[in-house]
Amino acid sequence: MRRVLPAVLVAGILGLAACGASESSSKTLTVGVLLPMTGDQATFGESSWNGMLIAEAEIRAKDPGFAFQLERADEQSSKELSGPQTKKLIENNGARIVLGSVASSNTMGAAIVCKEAGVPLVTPASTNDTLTDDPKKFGEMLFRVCFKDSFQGTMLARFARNTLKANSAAVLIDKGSAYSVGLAEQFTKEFTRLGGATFEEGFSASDKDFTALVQKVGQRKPDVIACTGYYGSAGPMLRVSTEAWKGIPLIGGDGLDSEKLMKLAGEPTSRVYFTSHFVATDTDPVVQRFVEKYRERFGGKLPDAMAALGYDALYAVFEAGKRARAAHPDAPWTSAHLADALRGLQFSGVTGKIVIGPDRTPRKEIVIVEAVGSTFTFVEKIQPE
Amino acid sequence: MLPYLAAQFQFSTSWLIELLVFVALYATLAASLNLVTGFGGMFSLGHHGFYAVGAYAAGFVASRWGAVDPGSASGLACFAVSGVAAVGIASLAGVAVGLPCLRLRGDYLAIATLAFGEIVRIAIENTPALEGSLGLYVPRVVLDPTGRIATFRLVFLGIGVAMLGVTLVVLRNLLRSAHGRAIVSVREDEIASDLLGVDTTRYKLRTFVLGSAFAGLVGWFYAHYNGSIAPREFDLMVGIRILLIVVLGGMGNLWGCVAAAAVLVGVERLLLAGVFGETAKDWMQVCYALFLIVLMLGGRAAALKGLRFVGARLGFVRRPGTAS
Amino acid sequence: MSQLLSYLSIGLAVGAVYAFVALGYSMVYGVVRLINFAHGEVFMVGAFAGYFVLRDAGLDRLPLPQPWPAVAAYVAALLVGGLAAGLLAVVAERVCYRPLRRAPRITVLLTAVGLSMLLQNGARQAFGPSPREWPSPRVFVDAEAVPAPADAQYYVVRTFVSDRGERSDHEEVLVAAGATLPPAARAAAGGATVYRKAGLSADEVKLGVVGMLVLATGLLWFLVRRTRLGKAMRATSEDADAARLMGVNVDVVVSATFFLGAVLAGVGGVAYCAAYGNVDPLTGFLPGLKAFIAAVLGGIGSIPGAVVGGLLLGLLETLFAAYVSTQWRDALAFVVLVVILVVRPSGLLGTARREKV
Repeated sequence: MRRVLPAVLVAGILGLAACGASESSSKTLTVGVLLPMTGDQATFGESSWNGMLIAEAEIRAKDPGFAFQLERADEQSSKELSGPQTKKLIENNGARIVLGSVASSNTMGAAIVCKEAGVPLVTPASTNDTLTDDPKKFGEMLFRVCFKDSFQGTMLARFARNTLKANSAAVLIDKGSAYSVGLAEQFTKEFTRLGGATFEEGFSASDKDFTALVQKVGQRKPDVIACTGYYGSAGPMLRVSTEAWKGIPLIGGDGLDSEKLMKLAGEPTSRVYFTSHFVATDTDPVVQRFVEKYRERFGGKLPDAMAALGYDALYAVFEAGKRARAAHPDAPWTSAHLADALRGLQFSGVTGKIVIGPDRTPRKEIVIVEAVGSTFTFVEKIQPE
Repeated sequence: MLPYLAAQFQFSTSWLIELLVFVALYATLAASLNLVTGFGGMFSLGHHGFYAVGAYAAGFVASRWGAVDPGSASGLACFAVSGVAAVGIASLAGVAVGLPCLRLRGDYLAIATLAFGEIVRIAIENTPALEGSLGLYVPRVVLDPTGRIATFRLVFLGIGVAMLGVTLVVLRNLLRSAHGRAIVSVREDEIASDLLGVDTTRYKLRTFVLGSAFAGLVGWFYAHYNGSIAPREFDLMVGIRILLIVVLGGMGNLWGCVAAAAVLVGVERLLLAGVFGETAKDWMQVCYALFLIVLMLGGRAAALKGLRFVGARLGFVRRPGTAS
Repeated sequence: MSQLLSYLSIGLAVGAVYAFVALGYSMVYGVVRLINFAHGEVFMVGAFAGYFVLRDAGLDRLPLPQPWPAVAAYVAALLVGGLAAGLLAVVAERVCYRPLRRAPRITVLLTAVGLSMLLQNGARQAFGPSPREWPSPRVFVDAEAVPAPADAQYYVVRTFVSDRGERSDHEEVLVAAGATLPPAARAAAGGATVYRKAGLSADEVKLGVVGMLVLATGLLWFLVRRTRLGKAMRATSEDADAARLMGVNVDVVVSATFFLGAVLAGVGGVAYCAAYGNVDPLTGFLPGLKAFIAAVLGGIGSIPGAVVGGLLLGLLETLFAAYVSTQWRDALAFVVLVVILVVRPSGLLGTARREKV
């Protein structure tokens, strides 16, 4: 009897496969969305999704003939699931293009799956360089709507050196995150090139107890502390740093851009700055229009960078879709056509003018934000050279 | 027949083949743990650590092999050598863990092996050469899946079934041999066996190392199948999953492992694919845990009866009592 | 030198939390020879219970007229956290462990693991997996006090009301000590009220935790040495069958042991999360494991052993992180475990047991 059970199970599944639908309607474009809806990057996922919803509503109103549907999968902030969930989107939901993810480590898992399936992947917020700079690993189907860490790290280092006038920097690296390691590398390169001195300390994102680390770093009295990890670590670090880091500013990358950052940080004695793609207090009218729409739909909440990038990412799909449809008017949606349309795509998004370059990454502006209380204040916006 | 299927779910052949691949993978892992726990009576909660060691050994060799064409002689050589490395290094790890820890009994051994599993994960995360949590990229050496995913998976299904087959045959022969009798006697009553002249330490160690060697082999398979590996993919949940399969299939029952793996992996994949809806997926972990507890409290017989009942309801299994 | 002292104090505080949890492990093992894997999750549940008490006491939302209600709220949080944890443990024991009292070891072990996973993932589903900020208390000062006096940091709290009349989370603007409110905030503040934060300083929290540990150990010692229940516990741990023959109600003793151990863990949980400012469903996993290691280090089954083991592990860990490497800190605990199991399995203060043939 025990031998019959597995055989019957397999037969049952095969039977379902035979009678199940094999092709989704090819007139409707299924856009797979892979995001961290739960886990320690949940706020990023939620914001990105909200931004996409705003874009979805706008696109449907603007161009009702553009038939598409969003199919979302939750990678739970872990690389373990980003690969399998991407497979699910492509194989089980019929996605012809995938949007996602946020954390570079998790996008890597999705990228390999997409490369082998020949499906283009558009990441709204993964900034790690190797994603587009290593086609052997990740193929040539990965596109970004955000800037790369080589740009972000460089700008962060210049801000530290020129604006904050720092001579020495402590670089805190989350060894478990591709994003953090990459950003730290770029920051250190530029900071030392500009004549500064750095020292490193590693930590793990699953830590809660940063007291020893904070003491250790504070003791060496750096002029600035660069935490290249996510808000889930930086926040708790700041919380226990009121004595040890008094007067030393903390800087970081877009991984700190979350409303939870300062909530977790309590009342730090350090000023907190980070680089990002977008800030809601930017007076640019395009930004303000987006902020209005977002507040109206989501109960007064201000959109953050992830929301803006999610919005722009879906628009990238829309623009590419229009282009593909223009090039192949009556054909069903195919991944190859969409990938072609993404190359060299240009449009204006809420995070700036997006021109997809030969490295499948746009050259865009970057904003510097200061976190004060629960507000993110706009400090400056830097255009790429 | 199955009223619960989500509307947008599509079955595809490649998905199915992947399901079978993972059944073979977990069945082999369960068999290797069964050797240690079911037959050897040694509670190992860190078996996934050897799985990880094997995967990373293979992955490291493959990533350092140099540029290679998938399917070429060099590629296949890389495949073979990484396999040897995986088994070899996992066995060494088995010795390293077994020598100090096998003196411990029951709960203590379980905790010590659990600690080992965690140490392996932390070590991998903090070793730059292994790329830590970034994910170690394992280049394709057997076949390039781009554009022909189903074929790629079919090839690996073949390899996986072969791996499972070899493991089962080796274990079955081992257990029928003198070694097998010795290890069962040690499991039943270690002190008595000792008095009867059985070198308990040597047999326990051999069994433990053999189990870890096979786990390493599965690690090699997984590394090459997946194309990239990260420490999170070898965490405690994996260890629990393997243990659950062993318990469900019956400790000391090799074929039971295969059946139980099919059930567990099948249900899990269906859940992950969203067949039963999104909420079911979220509750998956909770259900695992509940199932484990119920299994322990109610005994395996009751759980199997329950499964059969559910299976009958869903139309998979004919009602008990009918001719099978 | 002062750096070393500061690290030592951190280590003691962390160790005290481990000790709280380790006591539970040791007591339970002493009485029923069971390693209660789910103990770490009991810690987490206690922390959540405390969190809800503080949150609903309005600690971070509404003004409190004087400082001492904040203290009362904290005491309530500790008590409720401990009680919730204790009750959970008693229920778990009754449902999952008692039926397996005569079952083979692996069954009990797997049940404990399953229970731990159930609690962790159940909490994840019920409370969401993201960390929640720990509420920090505020003390009402003055409605019009702008600019802020030099010795305090002020908040201005206002609620955003959208065009559709929906209320959002409170928005706050932090004003640095000695500064005036930024113009935008002042314009928006309107009739808002101004508060002063009133939490405990980091050092006070550390002192509090260690103090609580001393108190708890004292109480426990008194219980075990000087009360009837304590005597019954000791008897049961020596020989449960003989104790039963002597009229001890073993079931009650076991339940009481689970309860006490869990109360301690729950209190430790509240303290831990209050110190680090956030709580999430996975909070209990690593500290639970480390506390277990601490219990083994000190000698599982021994109450002073649990305290010594906890403090020692906390110190070792912190000093290692400070002077050797922060990344490998977690691995240290596991290495300590393996070393102690191999070198002296009965732990530092435990008695070596000889297996009778």
